[in-house]
Amino acid sequence: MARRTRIVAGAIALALVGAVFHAGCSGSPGGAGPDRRSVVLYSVTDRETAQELIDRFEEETGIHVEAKFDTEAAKAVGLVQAIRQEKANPRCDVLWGGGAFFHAMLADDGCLAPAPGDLVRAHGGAPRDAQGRWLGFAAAYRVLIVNTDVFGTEERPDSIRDLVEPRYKGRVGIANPLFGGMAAHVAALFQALGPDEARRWLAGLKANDVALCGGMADVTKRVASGELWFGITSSIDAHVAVDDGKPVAVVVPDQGPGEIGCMEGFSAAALVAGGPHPEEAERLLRFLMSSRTEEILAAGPAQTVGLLPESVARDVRPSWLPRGIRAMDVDWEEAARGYSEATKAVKEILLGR
Amino acid sequence: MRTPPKSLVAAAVLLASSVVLSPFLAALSGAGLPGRTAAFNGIAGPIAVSVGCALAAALVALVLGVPFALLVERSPAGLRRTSWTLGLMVLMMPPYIVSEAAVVLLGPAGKIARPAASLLGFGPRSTDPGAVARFTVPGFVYSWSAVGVVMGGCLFPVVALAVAGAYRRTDHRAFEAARLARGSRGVWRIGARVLVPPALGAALLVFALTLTEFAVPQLLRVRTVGEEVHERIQEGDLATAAALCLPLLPLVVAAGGLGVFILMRGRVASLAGLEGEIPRFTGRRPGRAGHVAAGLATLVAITPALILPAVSLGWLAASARSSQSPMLGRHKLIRTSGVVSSFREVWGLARDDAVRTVLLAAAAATLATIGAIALARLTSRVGWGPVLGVLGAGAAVPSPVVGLGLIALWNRGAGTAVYQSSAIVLLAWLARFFPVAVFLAQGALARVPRELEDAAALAGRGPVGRFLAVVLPNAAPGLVAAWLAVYVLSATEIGATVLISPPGEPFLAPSVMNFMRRGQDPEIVACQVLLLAAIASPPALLALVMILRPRFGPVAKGSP
Repeated sequence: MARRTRIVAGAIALALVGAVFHAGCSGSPGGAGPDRRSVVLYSVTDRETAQELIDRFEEETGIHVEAKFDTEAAKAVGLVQAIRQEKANPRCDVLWGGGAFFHAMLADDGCLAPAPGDLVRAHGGAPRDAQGRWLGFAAAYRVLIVNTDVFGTEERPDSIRDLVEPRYKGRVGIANPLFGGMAAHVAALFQALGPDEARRWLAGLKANDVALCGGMADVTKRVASGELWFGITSSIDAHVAVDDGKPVAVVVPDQGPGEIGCMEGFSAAALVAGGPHPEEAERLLRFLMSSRTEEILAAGPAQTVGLLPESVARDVRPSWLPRGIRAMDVDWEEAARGYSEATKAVKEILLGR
Repeated sequence: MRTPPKSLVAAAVLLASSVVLSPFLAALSGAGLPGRTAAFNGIAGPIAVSVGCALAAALVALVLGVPFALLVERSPAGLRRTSWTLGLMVLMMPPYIVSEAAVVLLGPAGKIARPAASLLGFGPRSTDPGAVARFTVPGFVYSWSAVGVVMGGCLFPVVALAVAGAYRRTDHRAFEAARLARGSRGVWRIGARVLVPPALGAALLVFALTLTEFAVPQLLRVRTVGEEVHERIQEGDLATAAALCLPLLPLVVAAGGLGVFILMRGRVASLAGLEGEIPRFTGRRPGRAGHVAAGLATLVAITPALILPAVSLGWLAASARSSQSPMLGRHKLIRTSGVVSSFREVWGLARDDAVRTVLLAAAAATLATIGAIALARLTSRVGWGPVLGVLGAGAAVPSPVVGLGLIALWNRGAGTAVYQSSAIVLLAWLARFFPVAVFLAQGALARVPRELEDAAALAGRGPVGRFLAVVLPNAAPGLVAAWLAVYVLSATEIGATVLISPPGEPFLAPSVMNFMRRGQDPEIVACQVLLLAAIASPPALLALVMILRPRFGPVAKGSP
């Protein structure tokens, strides 16, 4: 008995030493060796989307990318908050993804550094921060996902205002507007519709017993299952469901004359102020801000539309997304500043707090 | 036996408290509470919902765990082993996969709920496809009670292990004496005294673990205090987010303290249990009906958190359709390769994540168990056992607060070296789950008769010898349960891990969570199965060793 106990205790000690050694020796950014250059990327963009580009960048430049990814559930409290928390001693060099809303917040907090002037100038008419602290590219849209078993082609809803139609009571869904992309969407609506109309829209959602789902992907799944009839989701998640053969269709909302247009949720990239590898970070940012990158993203799982001048000229887009989508006019810095008002309204009106 | 100096015990308690509570205190620093009382406005509702979910979870764990343990423990060896294997597999199922399965199968448009409702005559009268498609079942899936069922279903083995441990270590002469004295009424009374304390103690642990759960309530659309905390973090106000946990602390500390107190009083073992000749309770033996009841109890207990997710995953795999789109890249390889090939592709993508997760979770579990044993023994010697209930406060701290607090604490000066290594993940898991290990280890050690150690001391064995020869073998089942619990909880942790894992070193649970958003296709199933397999591998090895152990030589029970 005692011998066996000693053997087990020895095995445990050995395993423990091995695991702790592994923990201690691994993970330091730039730990790929003294001769190998590296850059730390925080990617809110999904791993399966980003990995392709990371592999290409490493292949072309020889710079090793230490990437850290977020999860949809943690989008709002994940990497963006980590960058805030690391501000005094930044570990990250480049932040990619998460949209302009959170980049604008980080820029306001002094966490982001301006991009090189020539890169900003080459950015053309694509969305960006006035001081170049974040650059937008690769647009995805907030669309309506509609269950095709429930709606025929002619009767599909085509506006976010349809979410407050009493006949759809209890059958519509959006992602929880306190978090992530939907928080940004509501803040943008406060600008596009004006505070009064945006509040009325929220009251309508409340009256219509809207389902507040765990994220855009959750909305998509619930509509695909038939639990909800339609809802707001991103064109990325909508495409996954369509591609999987689910009974859903994508409607780009509010495209009629006089309507506000649909929200354009482009990706954004930024240099983190005081990041440990500035030179490599700049190379990665230049790599991301290229038409070729947008082409790869358009052809990959992200299915985004190119926004950079060359991409616009070459019409880089996935074939299933229609041309000429009219986007909502949003000043993201203004929207970030209006976040508190929008959140307060969500809590008061929609959540009854 | 010598009593350790109180200063040493106090230092050990302080060290443990700093491991568990330092991230919270770092997050809290600068809160300026007097000026932030407005932050607590409207918090009562979410707290009440959180407490409701946690109470429901504790109740469900009791209802499933106690009958399971008692019926299975009295059944024949083959059935007992099978039932325990299935029961422990439940512990390895991440709650967010279980809640997703609940929605897929039992939600308003559930694969089971909708046909069942139609069969019962609640379906649409019309055969119009539109009307059929619009039919949904008003279900209970999106409710606080469903959160309780999911969490209780996932954590019932904790209660079952505690009850079975007490049952095994009990001198069955107590039952026999009670039967002779007062018949079956006496058996019930003595049974209650023996089994209620560990059952309640474990249920309180389930309560504490459910209180700040975020992923399951979010999926089931229940607004808890966790949502409030996440919202404050999104606003960049970490201090207020941490402050919002303060109302939970007394609840969890009280629950933890009470649980420890109850467990410490649950010492009903005797020398007889260690001599190899446990007197068999000769009361009514379970016949065939008893075996059927044990089988049914197993079936009922594993349905919420094992059978339903397995059915859901199977359904998704069977109904999956490979991607048709002309996409490029590695993602296409996974999505277009079908179920079987998906495993290969996903393994290629996430192999390092899986190895890293298993190694570090095993290290965290081992460190936590060793630390918990030392702490429990030290404090019990000086009668400070219930003081460890304070560590329970760690369970009231939501995972993102732990993660962000650790960044504030370690991303400076010399601490940067720790922050930039995977050791920071170990610290996060220890901060979150060390209280669980302490709680279970205290219960396990409390059931070892003090007289045995005294006898070993008289025979000249030193402290280490006494521990290895007497305490460890007799407390082993409870300590293995503690190791397993910390291992599984660590391997499936997301909230803190995603914040602090070093760049370039992803862990499996966040990766799987990311894949899950992609809908219902082969890669999702492959990822989830991969996660479960990675988590299950060390416990499976452990089980294999236990099964094969008798073949390597007979073990004389009670031999030194």
